[in-house]
Amino acid sequence: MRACSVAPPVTHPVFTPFLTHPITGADNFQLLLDRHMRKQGQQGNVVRLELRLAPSADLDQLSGRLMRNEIYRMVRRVRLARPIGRVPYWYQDVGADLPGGVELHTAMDRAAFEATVLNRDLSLETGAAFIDLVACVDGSKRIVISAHHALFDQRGMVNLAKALDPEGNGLNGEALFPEVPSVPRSRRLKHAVQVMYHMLGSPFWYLARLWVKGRPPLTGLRTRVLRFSLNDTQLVDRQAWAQGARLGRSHFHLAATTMALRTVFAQRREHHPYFWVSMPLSRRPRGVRGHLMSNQLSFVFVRMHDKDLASVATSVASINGQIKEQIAAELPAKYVSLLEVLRHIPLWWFSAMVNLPMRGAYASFAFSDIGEDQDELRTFAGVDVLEVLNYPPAPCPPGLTITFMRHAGELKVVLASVEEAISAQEMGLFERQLNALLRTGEYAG
Amino acid sequence: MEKTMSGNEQELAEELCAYLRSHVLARQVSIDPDQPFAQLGIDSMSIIELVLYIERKHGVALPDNALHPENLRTARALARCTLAARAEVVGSR
Repeated sequence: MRACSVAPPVTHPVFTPFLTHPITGADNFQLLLDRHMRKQGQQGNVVRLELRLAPSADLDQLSGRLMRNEIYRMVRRVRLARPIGRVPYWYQDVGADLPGGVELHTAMDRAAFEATVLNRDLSLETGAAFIDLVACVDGSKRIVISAHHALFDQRGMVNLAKALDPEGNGLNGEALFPEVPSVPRSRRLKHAVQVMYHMLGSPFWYLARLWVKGRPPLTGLRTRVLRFSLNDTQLVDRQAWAQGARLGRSHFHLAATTMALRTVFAQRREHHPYFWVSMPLSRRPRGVRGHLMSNQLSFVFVRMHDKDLASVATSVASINGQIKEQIAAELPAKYVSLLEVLRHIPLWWFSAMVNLPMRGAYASFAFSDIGEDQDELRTFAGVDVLEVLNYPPAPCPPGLTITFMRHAGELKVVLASVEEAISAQEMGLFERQLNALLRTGEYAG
Repeated sequence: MEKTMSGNEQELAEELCAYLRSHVLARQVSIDPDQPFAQLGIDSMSIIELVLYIERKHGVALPDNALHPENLRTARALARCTLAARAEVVGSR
């Protein structure tokens, strides 16, 4: 990502009016994470959507069709400008050189898939999206769309996949960017102050942190997928109800995740006063497919002390209470105002504001729950889609991201991590405990 | 002062739909009381908003056992369980 202080040089008719759009506060937050990751020597803030296609998919033919896709070409030309004294904005560099943007792989094994495809880095200077078409050694065929998180949120990724489908209906009349409601500056500032007051009202200094300085150098992002059959998913849902998750299962998922991670700290003989986690919330209007680019997100925040973590039920109760309290106080909406205000300051300043109170950790771990995919993306390029997976980035620190999702009613948990945060052995322990807690509400023996 | 609530299920369901139209749904989207929330992408966080709206506007805190997924499926189901919870509170006085 380039953080330029002046508008980019005009070597061709750059500013196509329909594509000049100010970044949202949530885009800016993703840029902050991108900066944070790169400062640690990690790849940037890239999200991925994988569609496992039926074996009849013709990847050769698909490759050509995707390269010619007008929406994809437009997306790859989107760039970021950071002019002094103005809110940064997206624009289309209509003359940008666009080499390929689609790569075809044959006979790829899992290790190569992970090293090449799931570790593909992207820069906003050279194209915010990339497509890998993969024929795996096990006979499966996959399309993996990688995109910069500053430009695409999870819903945007689904919309991009739909727009790329050669048999689909493109953008289906939806906008490229969100319609951002206009909030008077004074109200925005008032909201921002209220959120800051709420957040700084309790300390972050001692939050549980996985990051271990001095571990062997990063080998890149590691990704694991926990898959639950339909029956197992129903078992998890019954357990969520039994443990007190009444308004959505994500509170149970978060409780089980936090408790499973606690066993990793116990094995390290480390005790931290509390876990601190933020959970993203989509702020997109519902009932429509929605815009393609730009994040429309807010967050809720959860702090879990020892007494909250006495059992899964107490953890769920604590999360229920904290989230209800924040929604009642309209904090997610007010947090959007804070993020909007923060677009006006340089990223280094924003970074210092986050880093200082948390000693650079950002959160104990990153967590999101995408929920059910509502029968979307069942076919692509005329063939069946057998599985959909969303791969999150793992900003480091904390270095571990857990994403829950459902496709065709089946629960999947994608774990993205780096060695410096959690070793392979620790990851094994975490997975075993998470599996047990989700199914039984108890730790594995 | 005790808040008032109409005992009419249809009326309350319509009111919940109106809340969703103004706070959660895109401008051009319509919703009727029997339309499943999931069909419109209304997730658990929006349902929490709706439950808090009922508490705030009508003074009815839905008890734990009323928050079964079936009762949170449509505006009508939520209106029905709100009225039942209300009746239970009134009956126990």
